[in-house]
Amino acid sequence: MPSPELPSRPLSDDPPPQNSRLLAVVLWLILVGGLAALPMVWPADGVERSTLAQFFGRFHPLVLHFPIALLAIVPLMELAGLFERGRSIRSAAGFVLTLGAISTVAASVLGWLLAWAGGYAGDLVNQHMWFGCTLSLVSLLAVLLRRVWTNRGWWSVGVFYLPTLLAALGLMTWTAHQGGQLTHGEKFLEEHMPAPVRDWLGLPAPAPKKKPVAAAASHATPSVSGTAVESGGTAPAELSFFHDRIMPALDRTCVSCHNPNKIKGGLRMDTYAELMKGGESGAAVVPGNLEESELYRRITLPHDDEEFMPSGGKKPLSEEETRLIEQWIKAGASETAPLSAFGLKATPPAPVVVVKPTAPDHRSHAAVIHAWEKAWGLRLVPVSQVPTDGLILRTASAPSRCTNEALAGLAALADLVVDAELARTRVTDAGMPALAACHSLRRIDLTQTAVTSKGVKALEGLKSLEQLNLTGTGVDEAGLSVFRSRSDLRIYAAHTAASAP
Amino acid sequence: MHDPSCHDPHAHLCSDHSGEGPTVWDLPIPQSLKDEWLRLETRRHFLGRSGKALAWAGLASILGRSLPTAFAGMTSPAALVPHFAPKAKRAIYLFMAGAPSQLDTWDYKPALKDLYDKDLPESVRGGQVLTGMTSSQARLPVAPTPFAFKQVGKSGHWVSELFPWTAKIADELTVIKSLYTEAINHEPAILQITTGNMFSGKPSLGSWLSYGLGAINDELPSFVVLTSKMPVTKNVQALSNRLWSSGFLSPEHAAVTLRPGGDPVLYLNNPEGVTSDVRRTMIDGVNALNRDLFERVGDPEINARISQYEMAFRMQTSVPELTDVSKEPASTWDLYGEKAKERGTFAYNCLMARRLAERGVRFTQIFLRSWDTHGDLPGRIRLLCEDSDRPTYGLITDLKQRGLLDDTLVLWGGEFGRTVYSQGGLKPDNFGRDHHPRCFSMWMTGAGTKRGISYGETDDFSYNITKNPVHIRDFHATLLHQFGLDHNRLSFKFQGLDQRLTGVLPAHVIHDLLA
Repeated sequence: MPSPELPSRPLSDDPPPQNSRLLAVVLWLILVGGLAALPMVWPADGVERSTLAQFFGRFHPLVLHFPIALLAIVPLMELAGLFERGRSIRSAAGFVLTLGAISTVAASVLGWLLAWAGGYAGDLVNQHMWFGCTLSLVSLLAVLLRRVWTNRGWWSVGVFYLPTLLAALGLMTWTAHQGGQLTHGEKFLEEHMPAPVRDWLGLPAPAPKKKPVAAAASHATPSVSGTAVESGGTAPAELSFFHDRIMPALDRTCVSCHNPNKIKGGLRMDTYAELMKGGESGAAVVPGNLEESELYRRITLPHDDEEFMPSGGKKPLSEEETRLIEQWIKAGASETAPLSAFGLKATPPAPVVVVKPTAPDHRSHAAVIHAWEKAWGLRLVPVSQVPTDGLILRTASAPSRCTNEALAGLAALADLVVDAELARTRVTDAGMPALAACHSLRRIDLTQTAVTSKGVKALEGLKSLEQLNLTGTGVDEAGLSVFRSRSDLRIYAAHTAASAP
Repeated sequence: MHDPSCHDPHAHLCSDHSGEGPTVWDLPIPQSLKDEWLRLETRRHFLGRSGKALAWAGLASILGRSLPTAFAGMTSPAALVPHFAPKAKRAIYLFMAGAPSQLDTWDYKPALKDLYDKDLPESVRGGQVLTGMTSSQARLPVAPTPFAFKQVGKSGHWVSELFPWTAKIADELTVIKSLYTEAINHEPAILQITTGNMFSGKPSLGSWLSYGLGAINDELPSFVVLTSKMPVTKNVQALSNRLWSSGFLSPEHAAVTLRPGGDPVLYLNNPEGVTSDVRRTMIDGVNALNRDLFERVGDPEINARISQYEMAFRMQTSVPELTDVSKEPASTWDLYGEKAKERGTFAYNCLMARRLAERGVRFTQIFLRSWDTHGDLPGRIRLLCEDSDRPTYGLITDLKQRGLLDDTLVLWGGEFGRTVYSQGGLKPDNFGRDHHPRCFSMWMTGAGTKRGISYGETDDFSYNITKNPVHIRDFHATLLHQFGLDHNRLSFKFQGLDQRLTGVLPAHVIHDLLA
């Protein structure tokens, strides 16, 4: 038993004196007020300011890692306290949390400095700043609540400590994500996200990477039967020099910092109108005047000049691109002037590839296809992995199984079949009307079947037909006459009466 | 003795599975992946099964229903469907083993006439290392072709007098004069052009097609090789089944060779006293034993063997029908020549190639050997061309009139070129040519090729390529492209690599060759 003369408890367990508690609350309120005031009084407006402020501001990316690590470890330390051996760890949690909260405030202040003085602006920057401030306040609140919690136990206002700590962690995660987006681009995290995770988060599928026009054209679907490559009816108006030659270069080199989310130097370069508005240093582009155009001056400085653009070691514009920009400004920096005005041959308009589906999508008919295959012991195989390329009626393994009845059984699938391989099958003239109902047919091979001119007549209505193989059948020239006028149809009739000399 | 509880056909893992509840085999995993697992299993048995089962279960639960799509196209083109609409359904490759001289066949160099017996300029040779057969020669005297060339048809191809028949169909041909390879000796060179790699053990062209596209006709193999009787038997290069093996692909993708004499396929006919029913019963019995073995060992090659037994059984009817030419019309012999009646000749093989194409065989490769003319080139090449010229013409003409050339790709060529200088003594009508990898010619036709054009150019000595070089990889990529296959996507996981016919170096589809 402790004697009454000695302090009954260690000093640290004394309830804080009334005035120091007051001091803490006042201090907290000042911080709260101050943090909230900074972005309100001095918002990030895209104007670049004193280099000293920028110098300190650039410590933001360094300092921000402290709160991330410190705050994240606090819940672990609290959890450790659940075990006998972890008690000592928990007793340090308050210290770590306080350190974390202070570093959060520091990171927020430095972040504001960077944004305000570094010429940032934009929605994402502002959101990030507000989230950062809120995080600071919440983590400071958590520090206060923890003290109450440790002193008074669960049945006090201290009960809000754990929820507040979790809220701080959530805020921190989101704020950190936004910061990452600002630094690495908005799609940084999504870019290589596995499809299942992406689906789960409800994110849209990634946009396919753009291919250069020329490459896209030469790889355009190898003009397969049924793929019509047309120089589209709506021939695109001639491309403007700006959009075809200048904008792609700006997109690659400048827009990552000069966009609506991160308006460095108050300048946006994501559209023609914004580019012409200029930024805090004045007009970026003065039509017809190279000397006055800040854009041109910045991109032609020596690469080690501190004003050189793009800054921060990003890949500079190529000489060719710089030359094009020079040409464009000299000629009046028009948005619409066509390529031809610059003595450039207009890029041949990319052929508008109108892929006319060869046949309807076969995937929804899988059950019917399978049933037919099973019933006749024949195959209906896709032409390719493109589901609208149609099906091949394949009989080579057992031509004798293919009869007129098998063809009649195709009625429900008629439009899907584009290629009927019927060589040496038992189909006859009576089966031809069923074949004629397959409107998508491009190729029919009736080699060495009993078909004659009489049956072939039924196929006259197949307008997509490209190849009709009647080798070794009973056709004669009279039966072929209806097809002979079709220049787009290749007819083969070797070893028939029609081929006789 | 193995545990009798193993007779449940699904209990593949019975040796360490208690028999209760579902096994990992019930997971929704594509068969191809299970096969791959089994392949690893046999090799790495000691790694223990339970750990792997856990790994599979974990993998399947993480990836959930998207598992089949996540792996689609990575290990196996499970659907056996081309990537995009193909131009070619099948191909016939007339392979001139030993390497025909491009200077005397398809790469006409008139300027050489004036350089007879002059030394090959060092600027042209460019320090190239020669084979041991000519590297010690005191001189490298230029040997102009002794054969006359003339320009024919709308295409204006220069055709050698060695090809009076092929000249008639010159407008059908797409002649490539700028192929090149790295190999200077037959074995690596022929492996490279037949399998895409100088080292043996890789799948051949036909195997890749069989693997990627499957069969059109299940009664016949997808890939058939025909070797031909030789009109010349000097400097003959040995052929081996390395050139048509399936490498690391399942053995059912290897070629079946039809022999030039005797039974076309060995032991295909039932011996006396064995009826088809007896044979069927026997095969069923063997298959049952094999399936049992597969359940215990899990080696996918056992499944391949089962399917090969079945294929052999089907071929007992399909091959006699294939080789029975008694119903061929008389016009056939007008096209291919009377020699086509003699089993095993190049002419007979060309006729077989047409019959195989008609029946839906994906890839037929005819080998004609002894083009390796190190000496007596004029005499030997004349004999070889006399033997092969008319059947080649016959094949193309026949395919064309039967409508088969529209979707059958026909290829003609060897494994490398020959030198402009003579090996050994030079006389106007007698000399030899050594191996030359820096350029050689081949032609193709049918199935979406741009017919009647010539592609690529070589210098005046047909020594170096001056325009549009085509590496063997590019040729392979182009060939696959005609079958609707992207050479970058047709792959098979083996030895830690997504193996491809075109290997890892960049290969390009030569779109200029295609209509």
